[in-house]
Amino acid sequence: MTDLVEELKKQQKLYSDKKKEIEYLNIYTPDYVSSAKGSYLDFADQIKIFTSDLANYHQTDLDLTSTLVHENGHDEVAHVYHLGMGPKELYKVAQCDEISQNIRSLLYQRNEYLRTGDIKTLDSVDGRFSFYKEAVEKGEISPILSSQDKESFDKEMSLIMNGTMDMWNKKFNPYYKTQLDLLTKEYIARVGEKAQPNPKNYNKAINEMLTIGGVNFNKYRQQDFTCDSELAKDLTELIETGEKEDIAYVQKEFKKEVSTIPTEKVKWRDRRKGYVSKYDTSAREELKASSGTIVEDLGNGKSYEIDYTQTPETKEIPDLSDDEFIKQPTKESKLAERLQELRGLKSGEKSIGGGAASLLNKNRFIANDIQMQKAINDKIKYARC
Amino acid sequence: MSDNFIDSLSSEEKAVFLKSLIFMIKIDGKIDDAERQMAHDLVSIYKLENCGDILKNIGSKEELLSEILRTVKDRKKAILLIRELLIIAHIDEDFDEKEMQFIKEVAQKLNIDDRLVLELNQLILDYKLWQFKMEKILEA
Repeated sequence: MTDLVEELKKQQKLYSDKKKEIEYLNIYTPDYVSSAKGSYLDFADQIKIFTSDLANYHQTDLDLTSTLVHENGHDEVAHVYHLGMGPKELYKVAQCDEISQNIRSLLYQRNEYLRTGDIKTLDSVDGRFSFYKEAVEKGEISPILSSQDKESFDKEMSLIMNGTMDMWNKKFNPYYKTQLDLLTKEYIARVGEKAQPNPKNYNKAINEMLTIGGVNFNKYRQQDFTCDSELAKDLTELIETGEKEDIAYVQKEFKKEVSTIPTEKVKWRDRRKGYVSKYDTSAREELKASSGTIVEDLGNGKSYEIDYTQTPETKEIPDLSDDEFIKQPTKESKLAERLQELRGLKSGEKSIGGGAASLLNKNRFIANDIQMQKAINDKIKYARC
Repeated sequence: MSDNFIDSLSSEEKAVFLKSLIFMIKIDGKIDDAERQMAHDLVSIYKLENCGDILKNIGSKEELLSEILRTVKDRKKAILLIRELLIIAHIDEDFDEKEMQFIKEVAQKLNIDDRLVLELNQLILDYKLWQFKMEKILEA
């Protein structure tokens, strides 16, 4: 018989593998892998922000918080992936998720601009919000005026929505394709034949994701999300027209695939200080310490050493779910309108002083005039007597 | 096998069980706060009076193995000791080789077949997996 210690080791290895399998099979909402600035791992309840002395990003607190707002946004809307919908719809919801998190970052930086008056707060290392900064510089939009004027507000919100969507489609969409495909596979692995198209749930998800800081950006959206994934299209066809057995087979295969999430393919691999986004469980366990060095196995006999320090957990994340985060002129004018109305000063058509009411007022004055005339006439009459 | 097996142990047996478990906890030569707490908990679980001196004098592995052989005569209790050792080994996620080696030597001393040790170990691992899965599902 083989040595007991060796047998125990084998059992331990099997146990670790099964445990890992459970961990990965329990991806009930999609995770986000970012090779760039940060990542959100729903199943692990982790937000990771990368920092590096060698990187040009995250050298300022503003830039770092902007990424934190982005990743935290994924956490806030993760629940929408529990809504039932078709693969193509899911793919578009995931696109919307990324766009809405970019909007959150921009809104955070916009608020910093309003707070400090410094135009540099609208900068981003990769120039993702340059469309917005340029519009402010040219005077095409004014975040300051927006809080007081509805027209200006709508123009600015429309630019934030559509400008961010254009920017993301051109700049990031191609790089997210693999991730969004994987996410679609995870979804099918999870729900199988229940992934039926559901426009109601799709719209609900989009609306929830795009309602930020008290503003529903979806109403400013001028173009639809487009699913350019062949995989999502094929899966939609399979779900709509395929046999149950075929769907079950695909689901089973995807379960195998997503339970072994591929090593993150990162082109740029400098030594990084900060949270490290890896699917290597042993590496994640090493991160229990507040700082240290871990070795990332890249496969093919290659590995990298990574220094890391954990971002303090106490770092405050700006609350963009707060309805008052974006100061809106409509809310002010409603209050002002009500105040004026109560003071009896308002003469707008919807107030008691305008529209039909103005006729009423006019009649009242006329009536007053008639009464006055009558009184005068009476006095004259009495005087004549 | 009763879960209240501790009540069925004699004072000598309790002492050797406790010594073995503490030995396992300290097997890597150092003891951290969590392990110290675990040792403290074990003392109260085993309800052994005047155990201070016993624990201070666990002795070497060889001495302990001899004491185990002298004290644990009942086969059922021998199996229970192996189970206790395996459970302690699996309390954290780090069942290391020194712990495995110690369990192997205890099992050999008590004439417990390797296959039985493996069965017991598998039972504990299955239970841990079941527990882990349930926590995941319940999002605990």
